[in-house]
Amino acid sequence: MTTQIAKKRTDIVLGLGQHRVAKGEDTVLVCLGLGSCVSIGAYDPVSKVGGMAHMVLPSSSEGRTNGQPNAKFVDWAIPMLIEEMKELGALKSRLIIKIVGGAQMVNAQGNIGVLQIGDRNVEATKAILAELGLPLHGEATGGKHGRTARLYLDSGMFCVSIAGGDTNEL
Amino acid sequence: MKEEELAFWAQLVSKGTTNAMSNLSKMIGQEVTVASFGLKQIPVAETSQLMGGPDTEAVGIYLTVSGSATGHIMLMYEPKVAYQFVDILMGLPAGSTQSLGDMEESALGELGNIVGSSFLNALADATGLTLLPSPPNVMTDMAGALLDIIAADILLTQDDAFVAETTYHVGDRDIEGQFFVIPTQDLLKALLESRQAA
Repeated sequence: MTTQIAKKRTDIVLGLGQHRVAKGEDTVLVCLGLGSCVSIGAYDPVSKVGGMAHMVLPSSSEGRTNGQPNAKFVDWAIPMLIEEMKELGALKSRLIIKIVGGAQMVNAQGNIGVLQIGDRNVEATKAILAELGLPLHGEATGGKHGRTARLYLDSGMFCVSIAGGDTNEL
Repeated sequence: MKEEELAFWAQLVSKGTTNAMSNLSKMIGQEVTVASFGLKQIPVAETSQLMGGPDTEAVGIYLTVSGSATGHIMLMYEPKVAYQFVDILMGLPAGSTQSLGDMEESALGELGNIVGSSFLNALADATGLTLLPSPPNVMTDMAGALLDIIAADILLTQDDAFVAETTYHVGDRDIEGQFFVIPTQDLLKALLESRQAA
């Protein structure tokens, strides 16, 4: 009798403001239900080190926070993610970087600045990447709909799904 | 929050919820019974778990609050529950609505208007503040994506959310709904200051 063993994968789900780096063939880094938040996925195809962050707000200068730097803010998340990936053996020049999210879920009414947060998160992400000299290799951003992002560390495949289940590789 | 502030907040939410449920009951012509009411403090990152998980599909009715303070009101339902509400609002037999078009969204928006403005009116009456709801937006999407708007605003200043959770039943139809109130720091501050002024 031959038995086909399905590939066992472990999902690591990142909540708002969380980030994770990993080196492991069976690991999938996941951000579920991104609205205005932006998920950045970075992957080094040689060392197979991957990292992801679930970023909520564009800039730490806007927030009042007394906690440790975390991935809540784009300007904190990206440098932290890249540094930790380097510690695991990733090379900055080899990184394939893609971003997902930054939707504008509601038609802005009134002048609550937080309603334009999706666009601002995407802009901030691109600005920080440019500042760090990191090219962007793909994006699924903007629009009015939520998304889920998955980064598979065995292949570097980066997938985006929308509500209802349609999934595309980015 | 200090203990007396928490008690004051609980009292306000209870007043707001009672008024909202009573006007909801009048609007739909069905008895609405509150089954449970609770307050808790949880990390903002966990709020979408209240709706079954961040990638669970939900219908959100969203209003912004302006006036003495800014804030958000979001009513969220499983699609199935939202359809049940549409049946009631449009006087249809149970099980008629299976998706949301413009008409159905507009009916749900009206429900959001009634619940949201009743809630805010009760808070305004109790505190002397001016709290105005915007027109409603009705959206169907992943719960996490819907809640991002609110989470971003709260995370700007704090990592925890104060969640008031009311579970209620509607009349003769088998509807169990939940009503969450998650204040922004700005709203909470304005409300607590009104208490000191009184």
